[in-house]
Amino acid sequence: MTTLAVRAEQLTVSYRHGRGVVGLELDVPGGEVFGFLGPNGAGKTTTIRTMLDLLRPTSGRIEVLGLDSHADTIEVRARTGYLPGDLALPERLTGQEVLDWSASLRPGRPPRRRDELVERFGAELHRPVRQLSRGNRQKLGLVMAFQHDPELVVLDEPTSGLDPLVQDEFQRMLRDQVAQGRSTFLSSHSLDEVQRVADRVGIVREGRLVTVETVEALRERGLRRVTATVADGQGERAVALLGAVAAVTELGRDGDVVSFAVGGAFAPVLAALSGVEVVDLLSRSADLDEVFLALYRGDVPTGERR
Amino acid sequence: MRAPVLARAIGDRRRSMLWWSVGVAAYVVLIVAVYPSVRDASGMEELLDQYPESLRAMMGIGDIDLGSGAGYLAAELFGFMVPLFVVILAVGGGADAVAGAEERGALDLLLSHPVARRAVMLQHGAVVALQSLTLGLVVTFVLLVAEPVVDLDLSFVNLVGTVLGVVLLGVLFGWTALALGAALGSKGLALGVSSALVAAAYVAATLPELVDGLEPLRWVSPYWYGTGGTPIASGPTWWYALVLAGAAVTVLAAGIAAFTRRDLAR
Repeated sequence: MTTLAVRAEQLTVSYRHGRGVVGLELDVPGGEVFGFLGPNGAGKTTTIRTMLDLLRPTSGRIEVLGLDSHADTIEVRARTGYLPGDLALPERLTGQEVLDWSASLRPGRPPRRRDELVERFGAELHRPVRQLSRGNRQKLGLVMAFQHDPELVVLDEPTSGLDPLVQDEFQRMLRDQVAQGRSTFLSSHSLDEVQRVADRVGIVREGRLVTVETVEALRERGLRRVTATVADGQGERAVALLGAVAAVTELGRDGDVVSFAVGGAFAPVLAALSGVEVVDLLSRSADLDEVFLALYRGDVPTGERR
Repeated sequence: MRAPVLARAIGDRRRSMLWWSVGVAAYVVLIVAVYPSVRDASGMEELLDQYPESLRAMMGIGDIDLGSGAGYLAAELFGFMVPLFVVILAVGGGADAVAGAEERGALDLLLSHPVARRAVMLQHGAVVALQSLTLGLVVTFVLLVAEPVVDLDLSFVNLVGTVLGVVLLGVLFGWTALALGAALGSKGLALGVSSALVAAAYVAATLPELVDGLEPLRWVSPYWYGTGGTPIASGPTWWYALVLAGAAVTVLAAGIAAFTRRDLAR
């Protein structure tokens, strides 16, 4: 078996203010894009900063590329690239100087991908950082994280501030990384974004890992929100039919408009709806909070961590 | 030797260092330029002799002959102002180096590179030392140039010893601020505590000149080891420099130990 990109064993990180991470167990295979998904304050950044030895485990441990995050930190950092969530670049330096500075801190690892990356993202190299927009700073941060062609890149909310075109380029690049056998660990609070780029998704909430699933599986069990408008007077009948379908939850009716959530296969829903005259049918993917609720339902003992 | 942290810090401070050097050089030139008129003014010495002893003590001149070049410089430069310039620069730079970077959020990015926290501390410590040394060299250079012109009649050894004491005083307090900032993660706290220590050291060195029986107090004051005994006139006490260097190394080591053990703020 190849080395895991990241492995957490009973990792607990607590600090004075704010939530940490509690008993995190995580195996991230190499050569994939792993999406670390959770709402703000769930412990994503804490986990990432512990990987880089910026924080220390209170108990348990986390390994990066088979190396201990603390004991082997210099080697871990030599072989990874990192984009912080709050990117604070040296304001007075130009983009070029920032990239040179970063390279100077990585002896023996020339920034051989720099030119290609600068071109891909259209990074601005000749103006001082203080004159750059948030998106342009983020581009520099991405080039910095990738320019030395590390085995693992750790990205904390990488697409914040990027315009859609650059986001597309970013997604293509992550696919290239996988093709090269490189690993990517990326945190996000956006289910949509993670679904687009990741092979596997770990969902965290309140410092605990809820589940790890492939994006396929997530999509299959993926919660959909459906709103069906039926012909006059058929609302009640639609509710009765849908109520018999196991995958349907949160069923509600407002006149002829029936709304519900579907947490599974769609076919039985359509079969049920064929019993009424459907005027309009709208289906959209549930947002992250709704997915969490679905994953949590009956899943987590109540009264814990309140 | 590769020292990317040091290189970056020097690059960042190049301009401010230039202006500090110009300012300090101008101050020294001004003081030296006034010397001939002070020396030749009749009654000047008598006037200074009439100063209360406490005032003379606070000027750092005790019972030195103010009419001599060395005595004049002891009072006007090395008793208070030059140490003050060096210490302010060192404490400001030391407090900002790690704690300031941490507060700006810049430390995360730096320490995500394969550079050890100890190396960051050592390189920033070297920057603080270089800044103090630069001001020391500026003062030395100006005085060496001015010496024959205004006939200060200085001893080269005494001058070097005096400047060394001041530079080491700056290194000690600069490293104190660096260590406090690295240990506490707060630039404001590092500045505040370091400044309080500087003030306490000054008082502990000066008070024994004013009050009988307090002499033991000066032996705990870095300020005394850095400037005590008017070395420009009476000659340096070389082991004072060792005391300062030893204290500085101890403080920096403690700062490294604390910094490598703690979590970084975001």
